[in-house]
Amino acid sequence: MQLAYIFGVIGAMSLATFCTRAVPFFAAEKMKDNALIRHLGKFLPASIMFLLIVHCIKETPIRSVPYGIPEFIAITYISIIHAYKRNTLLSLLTGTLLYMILLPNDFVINFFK
Amino acid sequence: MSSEANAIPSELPDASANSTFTNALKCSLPIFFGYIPFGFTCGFLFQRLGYDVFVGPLMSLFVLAGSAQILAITLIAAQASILDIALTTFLINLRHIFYGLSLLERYQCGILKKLYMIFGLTDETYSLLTSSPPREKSQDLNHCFYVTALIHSYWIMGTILGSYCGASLSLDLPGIEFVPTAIFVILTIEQAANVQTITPFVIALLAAIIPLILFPKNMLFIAIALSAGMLIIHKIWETRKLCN
Repeated sequence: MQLAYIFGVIGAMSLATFCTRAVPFFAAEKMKDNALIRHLGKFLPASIMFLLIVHCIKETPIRSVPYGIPEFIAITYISIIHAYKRNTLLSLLTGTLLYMILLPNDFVINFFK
Repeated sequence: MSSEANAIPSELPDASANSTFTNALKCSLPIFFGYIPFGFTCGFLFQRLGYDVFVGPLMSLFVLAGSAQILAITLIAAQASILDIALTTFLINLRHIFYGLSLLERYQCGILKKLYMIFGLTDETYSLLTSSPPREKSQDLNHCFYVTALIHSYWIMGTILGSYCGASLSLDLPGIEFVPTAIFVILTIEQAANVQTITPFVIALLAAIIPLILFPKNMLFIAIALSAGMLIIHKIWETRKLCN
């Protein structure tokens, strides 16, 4: 496989990640004073996490079987269980397992027949 | 604990270094139990891309950013450009941009050690180091360093396990590709608990609609930029409202 590409990806990601973590060590004063930056720092991560879900499910076919129903059920389940228990491992394992059970199953399809 | 450490005669510096390390090990143990399965999943999913088995762990060694790495797997699978992946990584990790602020005074040391500790400033390292009071000055720096290095090593260990299992087990688990979605749902719930308002989510939803229809391939990047713009407008609007 294309090793140059993947090494480029690793290098670029390493640098990009380091930059976000290093900013306050160079620009602490400016960051503390700027209300707009603090506002973005508080709320933008929430918007980004939501958009990452959209990114992950945007190619799910919703006009053909199984109509995105396994995704919908699993996402709803994970949201609820995580809001109540706040246990990442539990939410991740049971949620993925639920999706894996729903995905190849005729149950969802038959339900709509 | 600290009074015991003081009682150790000064001619035994090794013993005190040892206890700092043991302490860091105990402190970081809960993260061990989170990072091994998370790293495992990351390595396992990465292996499905078809690269050599060392590449996934190599990424964990040099990047150390769980959610960005999981997302990168989906981008690499779509053969996204290196620039796109770098920009997306930067944006996902933007939440780290304030972490350093509360550690500025504690990270006073040589440049290499400092660079390494900045590199290793993950969500987990940050919350672990800032949720407990700093140790006494002579030990605090080593404590921070050990915690960073231990968490880094847990992440690599998890990825190695996942990569090797992905490479040697020939079973293809249908549905395992749902893991990134699940992780981002969890992180969204965490963020919601953190900000206590639905504003950023409404803004994100609005920001996603147009790029989703017009530029589905670059949706993520454009929608993040739009969200940032709308959040700024929202802030200015709120400040005006307060002034009036």
